[in-house]
Amino acid sequence: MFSENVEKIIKYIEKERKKEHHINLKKDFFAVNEIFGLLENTNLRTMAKKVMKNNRKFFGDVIFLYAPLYISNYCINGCTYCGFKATNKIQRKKLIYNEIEKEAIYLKDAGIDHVLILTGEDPINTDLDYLYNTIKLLKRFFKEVSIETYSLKEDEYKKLISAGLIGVTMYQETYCIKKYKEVHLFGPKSDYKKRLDTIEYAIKSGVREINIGALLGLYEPEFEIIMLAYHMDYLLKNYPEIEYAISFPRIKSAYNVKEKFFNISDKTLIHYILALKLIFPRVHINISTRENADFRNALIGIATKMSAGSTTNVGGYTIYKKSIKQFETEDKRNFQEFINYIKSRGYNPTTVNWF
Amino acid sequence: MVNINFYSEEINNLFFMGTGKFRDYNIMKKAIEEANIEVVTVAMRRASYSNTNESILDYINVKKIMINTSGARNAEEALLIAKAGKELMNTDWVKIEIINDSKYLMPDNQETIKACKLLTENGFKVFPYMHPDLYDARKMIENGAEVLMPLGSPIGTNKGFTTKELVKILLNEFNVKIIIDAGIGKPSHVAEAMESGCHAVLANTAVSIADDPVKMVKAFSLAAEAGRLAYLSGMPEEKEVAEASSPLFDYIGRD
Repeated sequence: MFSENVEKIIKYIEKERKKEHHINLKKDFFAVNEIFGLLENTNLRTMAKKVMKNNRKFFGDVIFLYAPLYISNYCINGCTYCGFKATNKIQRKKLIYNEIEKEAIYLKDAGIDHVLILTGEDPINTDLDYLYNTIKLLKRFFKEVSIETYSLKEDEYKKLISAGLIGVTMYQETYCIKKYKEVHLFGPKSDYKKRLDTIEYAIKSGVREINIGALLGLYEPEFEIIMLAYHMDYLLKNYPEIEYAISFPRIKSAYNVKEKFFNISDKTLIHYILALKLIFPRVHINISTRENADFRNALIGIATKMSAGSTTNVGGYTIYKKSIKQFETEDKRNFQEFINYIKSRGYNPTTVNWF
Repeated sequence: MVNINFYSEEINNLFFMGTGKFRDYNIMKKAIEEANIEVVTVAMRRASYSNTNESILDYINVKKIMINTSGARNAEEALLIAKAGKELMNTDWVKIEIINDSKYLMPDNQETIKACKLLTENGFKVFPYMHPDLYDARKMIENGAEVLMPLGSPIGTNKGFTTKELVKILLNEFNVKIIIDAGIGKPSHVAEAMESGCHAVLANTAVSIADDPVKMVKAFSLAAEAGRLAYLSGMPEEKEVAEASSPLFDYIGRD
């Protein structure tokens, strides 16, 4: 398990970050310990050219699209930075199956074939049977169903896979152990190690696609990126059969959240993305509608997975359009508009990657 | 003519095309038409069959479609994909692609051997994408493969026919058709493979991401034809030193 060595890795990283590193960008391959040099190098143009060339080699002119589907915002955790946290007095909702079907029909009609189910973290209101039935229901409409929910155990993931689950998204939020404790005040999510191990439970259960990330802004962003690199390196070496993606969610202000976060400029984020892509050319970069249209447009050719036409509230597509959103999306283009834009850039928007 | 039979089906254009990485289905369609492509592979996992999405199949009109089991991680999944592909594409030709390595995308020969058996038993004509290993090739043939598809170099790398020496062993050893698949980057690589006696070449990346894919597909097709013709013509051997073409033979006559 990656978590068994995480403290050692963190120590090594802290030591290494104090040194100066040099990198030769002319190389074809980069090892994980070259992340330090890649982050110090400021020749973004050369890095970008290399990444775009690699992307065309490995992914061609194809960009994979998906849409999020929020089915519940019940949550029993005390995450200080989140609008869905248990202490927030917001109207809680959980879609009944008929409502999920209505949302599914809307997304299907819009041309979506891959949905990512999202819930708040509440194993009672959104228990395993509910998730299982939801996946079963959605598989009638979509080829690919992924999930972003609370930590499950291996046999629980197995049950969801038997319903048709393909992918799991699980963000560590922050890789800093101390910060993790500070921002997760109570609830099952406050267990750092369990959170980290969940990815491997999902993999061992037989899931096909894994999406990891850190919620950038909670802690020093550069540290998070280096940890992401080491995490991904570990996963690729131990579970090479999985199709991986990395997301780069920048934290956004949410309802009743007053904390100050680290700010990450567009340019810095692009630098992070390029550095990781040089080390992991075959790993997808996933950029959601949480980012604005200009930024997303700029990253076409670098990112190979993107969400489109999203809403981040429960039942937000058809039923409860005005309900509280987890955060505000920036790219407001609808699915068709985004598809048209991708095409105009000479790329082929693809809505499926598995059947 | 340079036609070759694969599973009793006569194919004239020995350049087979993958359809996965094109930026636009219309360009792909044009490339197929202008280069008279007869065989294409279609990854079942990307072949949309929903009402709303345009389907890649609407843009393909060829002699043979080969289902690509891309995404399969074991023999059972390959069979599942092949069965679904048969329903959708009405073909029994299957490129067995089983990969358990997301970094280098190397084919898993052991699972592919199992898949050859399983798919053949289920009535499919198999085209196993494989690492050119003598022992594994033998097992694939024993398990029903009449064609082998060794990689030229790793997928998407455009590095060319770097496995040539290993593939030559397969060509010498087995009486099956050999199609070079993956890693082919230029028409000259295609010609090289065909000159070596391979029976066809399959490529996707090199043609689909070219600035002008339509022209490039044509170039690849012509290279396949040229290479095959050269092979059939019996190319003279390479020599270390120059040799005058006639002095003695003209005198004593050829035997």
